Amino acid sequence: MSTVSTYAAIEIGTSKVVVLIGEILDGKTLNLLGVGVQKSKGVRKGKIVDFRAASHCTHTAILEAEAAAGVKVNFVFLSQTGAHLVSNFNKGSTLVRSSDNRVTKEDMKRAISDAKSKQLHANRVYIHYVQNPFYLDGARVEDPFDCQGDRLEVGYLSIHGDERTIKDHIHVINGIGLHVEDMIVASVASGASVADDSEKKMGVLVIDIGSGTTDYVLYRDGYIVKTGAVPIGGDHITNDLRFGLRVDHENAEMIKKTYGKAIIDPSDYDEKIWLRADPEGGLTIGDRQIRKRGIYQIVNARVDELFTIIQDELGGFLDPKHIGAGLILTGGSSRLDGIEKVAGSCLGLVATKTPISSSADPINSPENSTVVGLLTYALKHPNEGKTRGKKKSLMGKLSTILSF
Amino acid sequence: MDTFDDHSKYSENEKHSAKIFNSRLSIHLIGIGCAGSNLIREISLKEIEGEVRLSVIDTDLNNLKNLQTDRNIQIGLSQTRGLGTGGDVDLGRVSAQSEKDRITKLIQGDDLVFVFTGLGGGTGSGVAPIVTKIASDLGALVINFVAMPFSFQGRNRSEIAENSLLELRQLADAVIPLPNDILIQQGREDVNVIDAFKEGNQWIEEAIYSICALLLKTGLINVEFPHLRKVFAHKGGRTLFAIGRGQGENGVQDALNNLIHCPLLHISEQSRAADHLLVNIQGGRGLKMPSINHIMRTVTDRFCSMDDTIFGATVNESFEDEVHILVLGTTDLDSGKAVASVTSLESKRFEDEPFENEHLTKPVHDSKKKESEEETRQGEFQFDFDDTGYFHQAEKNYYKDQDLDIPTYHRRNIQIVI
Repeated sequence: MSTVSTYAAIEIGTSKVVVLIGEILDGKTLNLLGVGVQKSKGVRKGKIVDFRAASHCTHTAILEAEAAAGVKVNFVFLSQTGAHLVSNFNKGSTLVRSSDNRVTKEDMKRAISDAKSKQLHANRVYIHYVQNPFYLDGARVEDPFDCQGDRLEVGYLSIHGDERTIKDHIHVINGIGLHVEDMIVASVASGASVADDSEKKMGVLVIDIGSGTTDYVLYRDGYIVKTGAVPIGGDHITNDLRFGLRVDHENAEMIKKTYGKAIIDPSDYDEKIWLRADPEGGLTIGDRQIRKRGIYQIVNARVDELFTIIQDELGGFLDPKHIGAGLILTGGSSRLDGIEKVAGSCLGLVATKTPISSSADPINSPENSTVVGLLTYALKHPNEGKTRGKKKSLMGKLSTILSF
Repeated sequence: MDTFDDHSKYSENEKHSAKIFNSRLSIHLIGIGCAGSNLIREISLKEIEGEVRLSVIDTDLNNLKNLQTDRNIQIGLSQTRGLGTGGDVDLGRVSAQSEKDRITKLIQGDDLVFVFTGLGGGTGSGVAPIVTKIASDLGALVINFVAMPFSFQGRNRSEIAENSLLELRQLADAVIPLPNDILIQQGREDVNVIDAFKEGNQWIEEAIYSICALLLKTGLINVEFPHLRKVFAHKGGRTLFAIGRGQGENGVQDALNNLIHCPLLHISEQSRAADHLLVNIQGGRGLKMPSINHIMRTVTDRFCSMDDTIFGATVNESFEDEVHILVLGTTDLDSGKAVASVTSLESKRFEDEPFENEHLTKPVHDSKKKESEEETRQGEFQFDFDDTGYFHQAEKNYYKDQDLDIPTYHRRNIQIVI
């Protein structure tokens, strides 16, 4: 029997709201049906600061996508980002109970629930539990079921966030009359879309530099071992340029996109650019020249700091030996010229950018890697939609979502 | 050229007793080297002209000619033949050392000595520390204004200047560095070199005039010399120094804004917070008490000096609706307090409307202020979306005590070449 479910992947980002509608056929193939993109309003650094404005633009984006797809959305997958997200690694362990020392499903469940049982502070909720491999008597096993041993251990990476921030996001979707099926951390979603399985196996660090936040996820041996978000994004570069060059926001954005370089490039840093009040017309009073060097200095300082913070956060996890596939940069701000060089030298990894498609192909542009990842995730976890379709109150919803 | 034969008539004892019985404050402004003599030549101290002694110490004979000062000393005649040191710091040092007695006599009896020089050259870097030490040993309060060389003058010169700056900080009560580079940054393209330097000198002139007027003139709120001494009780730290001017209807507000944007506050050599603060307000007859209250409150908030602030306010007849604010502060080296508050302080710099009248209408009691210092600061973080930072509505971003929303180049003190 062929089953079709329509999924909407929604990212309420700092610069834009993206809605992708896709359908999953027989739980295998993903078809992209419609896209809706709206400029974000009322969102700063991934946080909703103006509820009505954010609702309005999200709603418009959903309608746009529904109109393009010609279907109504059933399930919504929502991405989460922001510095409030924190990941912890918890280990759970149990003794194998059966008399013949073979691991039963019960033992596995006990180990898992032990790993998940860590209490959080008030106002914090779990978003994700990412399973890491099982260890049986200290040796790694992919599937311990029916293996022989005494002590079973399992590691879980728990990602938790601020309850209010997450509720705000869910509330936006609820207010439109849709229900959030699942939430996925943006970094995990981006990682799923830009890195393939062999890269994850070799070890790869994916950094998604958005407008307001930068999400990173580190895979080792095919498992997520570390993830997090840094509250710095492209907006910060724009804002820095604005202060450093004393220009307005629009001009700063233009300078960033047209002339911005993450490295202080000596080949052209003495060139000057004109800053015009009227870009189309001729020179007028008040127009002035800016040396490119200043632009590079400002951008370089910010980008360098960003990667230094990520390096700091990764700490001991940042071991090039275990990150064979290197670093992949994605997100809108990864378009910045030379950013991979700064990232590479800062983190000591071979850095590549996700290819930038020239056409307006929504799947392959770095800006959309998170939302494409969301859909990919929905494809990989197709059953979840069916088991949790019940409508509940918001808090009930939260609790189901958050305890897979 | 003047000598100080008249001084040498007094014996040491007579001089000392004269000092005890002379209740008048003796203020002395000494320019050293080329930059110093230029300042002395141009400085105009308005109505307190006669009450401040001016002197120049230089190795270059040409510089000393045509100077209308009380005393000039030419040093190092035997070493340099009156031609200057040519950038040799040791030569400057030896020259000053050989004339120690004359310098001592020049400074003796002074209560407050301003030393002005350009660092990086032979005379400035060589002589200034010796003069400062002599003045300091004689018990005078010594405040140094030093011009730091342009970065295009080469690394060698700026290294010499940096070293002298460190040396001076140990010797003087306050050292206020004025990097020449900001003259470039501030100056518009059409400003000629002479005017650019003049502007630099004006800051110093203003500072010296302001401090002198504070001590010599009777003000609304008086500051006495011991107060000033208290501010500079600790040597070795960085000094905070800023000037703001405003005129017209919103003179007070303009002056405050001008103060916060004072380029001297934004250089790496300057401290951005102070444990001890001296604030002087000069205004015309129309200066009102609520305005003074407003200025004082804002300034202490900004520079994090809740505990130890000395205020002075003077009325200047010629000012009409003009308002000048001078802030001079020092940091205790051993207390980490002021350093820790630097980030939060800088964050406030980006408010375009930092001085809303809220301060007046909703004053926070001092006792409360200390407890909720952090909260009040956050509360004050009000960006106007169209004019200022983009992150006005979102929560602040702290990572290891750094506010990430503040431009990185600013936190790292990177000088932007525009």
